[in-house]
Amino acid sequence: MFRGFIPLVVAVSLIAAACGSDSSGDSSPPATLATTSSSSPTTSLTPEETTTTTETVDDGFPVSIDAPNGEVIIESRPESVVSLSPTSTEVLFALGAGDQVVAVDSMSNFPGNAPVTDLSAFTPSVEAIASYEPDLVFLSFDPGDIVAGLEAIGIPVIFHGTAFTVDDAYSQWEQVGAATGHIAESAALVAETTADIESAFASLSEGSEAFTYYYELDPTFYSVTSVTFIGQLLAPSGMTNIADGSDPEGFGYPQLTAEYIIDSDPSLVFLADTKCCGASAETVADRPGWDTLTAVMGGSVVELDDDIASRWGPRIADLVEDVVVSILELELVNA
Amino acid sequence: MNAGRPSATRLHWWWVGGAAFALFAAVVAGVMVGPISIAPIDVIGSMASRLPFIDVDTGLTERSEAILWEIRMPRVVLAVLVGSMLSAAGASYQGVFRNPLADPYLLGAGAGAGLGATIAIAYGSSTVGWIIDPLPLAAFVGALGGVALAYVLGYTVRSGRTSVTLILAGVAVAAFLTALQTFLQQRESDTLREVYGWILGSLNTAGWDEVLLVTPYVLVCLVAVLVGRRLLDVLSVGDTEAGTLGIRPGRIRLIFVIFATLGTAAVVAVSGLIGFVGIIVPHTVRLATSASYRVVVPLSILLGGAFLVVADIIARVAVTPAEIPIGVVTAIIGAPFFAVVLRTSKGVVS
Amino acid sequence: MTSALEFSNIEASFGDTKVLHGVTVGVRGGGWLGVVGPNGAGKSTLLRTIAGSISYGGSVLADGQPIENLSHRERAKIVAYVPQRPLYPQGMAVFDYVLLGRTPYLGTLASESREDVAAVWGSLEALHLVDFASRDVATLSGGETQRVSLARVLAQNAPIVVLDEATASLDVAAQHEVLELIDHLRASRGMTVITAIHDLTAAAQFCEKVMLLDDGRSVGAGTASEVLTEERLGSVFEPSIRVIDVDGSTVIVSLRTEESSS
Repeated sequence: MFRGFIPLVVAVSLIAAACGSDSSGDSSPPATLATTSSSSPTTSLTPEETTTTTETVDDGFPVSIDAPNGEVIIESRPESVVSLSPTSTEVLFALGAGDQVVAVDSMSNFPGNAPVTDLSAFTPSVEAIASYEPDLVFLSFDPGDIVAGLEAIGIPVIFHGTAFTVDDAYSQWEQVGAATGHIAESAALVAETTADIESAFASLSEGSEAFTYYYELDPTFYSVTSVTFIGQLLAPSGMTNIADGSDPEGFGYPQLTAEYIIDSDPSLVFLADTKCCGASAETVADRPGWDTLTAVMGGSVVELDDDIASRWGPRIADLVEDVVVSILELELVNA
Repeated sequence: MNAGRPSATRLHWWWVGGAAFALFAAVVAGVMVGPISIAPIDVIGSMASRLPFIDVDTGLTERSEAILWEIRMPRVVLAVLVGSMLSAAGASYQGVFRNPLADPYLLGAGAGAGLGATIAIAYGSSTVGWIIDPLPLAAFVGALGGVALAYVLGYTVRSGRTSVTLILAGVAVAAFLTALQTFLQQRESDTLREVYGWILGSLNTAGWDEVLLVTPYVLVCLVAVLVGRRLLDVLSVGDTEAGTLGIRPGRIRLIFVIFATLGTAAVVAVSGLIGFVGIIVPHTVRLATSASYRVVVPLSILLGGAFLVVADIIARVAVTPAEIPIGVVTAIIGAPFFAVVLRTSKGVVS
Repeated sequence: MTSALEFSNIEASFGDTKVLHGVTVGVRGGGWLGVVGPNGAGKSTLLRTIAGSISYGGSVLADGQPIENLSHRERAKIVAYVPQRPLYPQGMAVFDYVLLGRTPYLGTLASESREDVAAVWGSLEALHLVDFASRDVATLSGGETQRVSLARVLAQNAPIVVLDEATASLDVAAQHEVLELIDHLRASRGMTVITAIHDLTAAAQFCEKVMLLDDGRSVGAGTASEVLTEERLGSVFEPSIRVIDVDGSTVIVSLRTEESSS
């Protein structure tokens, strides 16, 4: 009798401890208890445990985000999110927060069921945004201190500007998840994207390291070097970016000359100006002198989707896959 | 000046020879020099091979030949055409308005072209697949439209169709069209970089197609201005006196403006707004030789071409293999160059 | 070859203000008409009608032919005009400036011929400007530029010469010299001269015919002695004007009296 009492007390204590701490997913559950999903309220076993703390039971809110524009506190799960950043829109919907979004800007064209409005990503107006009564706003561009304006009227704003590294992009996704109550989904998305990218690159052989590429931003030969987001994204392929030799200051977006591009004779040409400026494999072949390029003659001019190429959302995996596919095709041709 | 019988200001052969030589040297340099080094001897060999019955084995790769003939050569030729046309247009405008600060964009040609280009860039992606590239066409039409608008506005002024009212009308039109352009850019702000790049001027997408597009306009307009240059001297005594000397100043002015603007519109359509050339070159010629338009016009044509070729070389080579927009180069080398000429001159500015 | 000139009922307005009210006057071929009058009387305006730079009612007739029907070029071959303040372009050589007088004889796109150059050289000689041929016109003195303007007029070889205040900015000696020169050229070449002139004495001494203009109307036209009387001048200008004879020449002055100084 006395010997059975202690294990019981221990068990009850453990149960009490497990019920008393709220679930944010981090506390390690006692071995004997199965953790329920984080969205269901904990049931109390003893009367003492019903006096819960001030922490709510609602997905970890309130939450504090360490955003680039400062600390942003979100009291409760936002239900009328406004996104003025095409990338943020893509991330929101990829995380399953689409039904929390009430308005997106005019250029947020993916996914197709996003609620597109006239709001402008480049010249937003505080009043126009406020008219949607948002409880969270995402911006990637801040002209005229829009961020400050929204904060002044008490609207939580997260400023996610252009990502400089791939890890920047991932941490932005995680912040989106935390801000909208989709932390697990964001972690999963990051993991999935990382895995997709890694496996894509893994399918390349060492031969791809001999390849060079030219990445075109617009028909006047603006390009990106390896220090940019795109450059870093594609770096694991082992290919050399021909623009690197032209940008000693590391500015990142040099304007090349036709001469230089032709002389460099890149193995692959990527066009990120197909939608904005009508570039295509045909128009490229029509350019004076370009028909002597190996890439043009061999059909290694790759037309990318401007939107995918200019955003840093989950579709970067698609970009990487497109690139890898074209490298593989080239390897086949050369083999 | 000879001690014997005095005579009219003549275009001395040594002036023409010097200017022609400068142009020739600039063109040679332009073809030899570039971000990709091609040995001069191979350049000559490649050019010789184009002559009938001559075939030199230069060892140049097909790509190097392409660089030489499809990129560098048309670019240099285009620079000559653009530079001479802008200089001749600048001299014409200066003569016709008796204003040393007149340049080819005075009456709104530049602002009109900029607006046309902005419209084409902002809404032109839906026209991919048109037979004619809308951008140069829109810029061309815009340039002509701007000047036409200035003329219409100037002619509605009751107090007379003087050169001053025309200049003021041009300023008003340019301001208005620029405002429209800025408004449009703000609305379609994803086009900002492309429009800005176009406005700064560039020859870097030039090929023989662009050269062929521009050549007829430039040739016709250069010949017209050249042939009529004596009349610019007559206009320099003012409309009233010029009228009593037997010409019709308003009509002559209109004709010069038409040809100068037509040529300017054509080159602007292809190369963007390259500034400074139209003011600097005629002035420099004036300071160095004579203020008479018999001299200024032909020498401006030759030296204007040379100047722009040199500016383009710098644009291509200074931060190679990247480029500087040519409008920036013409401003940077033009301003101090002009200051030096001004200081060492006889101090005569028409 | 001389050419008589006649203003017939000339009317002109600036905006809503009428400046000339039906002025009629004529001068014989080879004669000299001086148009005098107070400031704002319309002298310059009258001369500008011949130049063709303003619109007007009525008709200007050269040898009986209305010049309104002539083309600019033909008109320029008949009438040469120098405004009150001519424009001397900076950087233009005297020779080139005088050569502009040959413009009516050159085809639109033609260059000057040997005859044209000879005409210019002749003009420069007549006005003692040969040494100035390559000087910049904008650097010359007032008297020198007047001569240059006259040289251009000579090169233009028109039978009718219209000068608006040819002597406005000259000193006494230079003024006399220029007027003598004009008279000499008039006599030797048979030019018909019409000048607007503010100096009444000069008008009296040089012009064989004078017209007094006041408020856009002709108050009298005839010889100097007929028109420039003290009575008439007194009513148009001011009462203290005296017409005096000095050694046979007429002098017209305004005296400073007790009444006029009050």
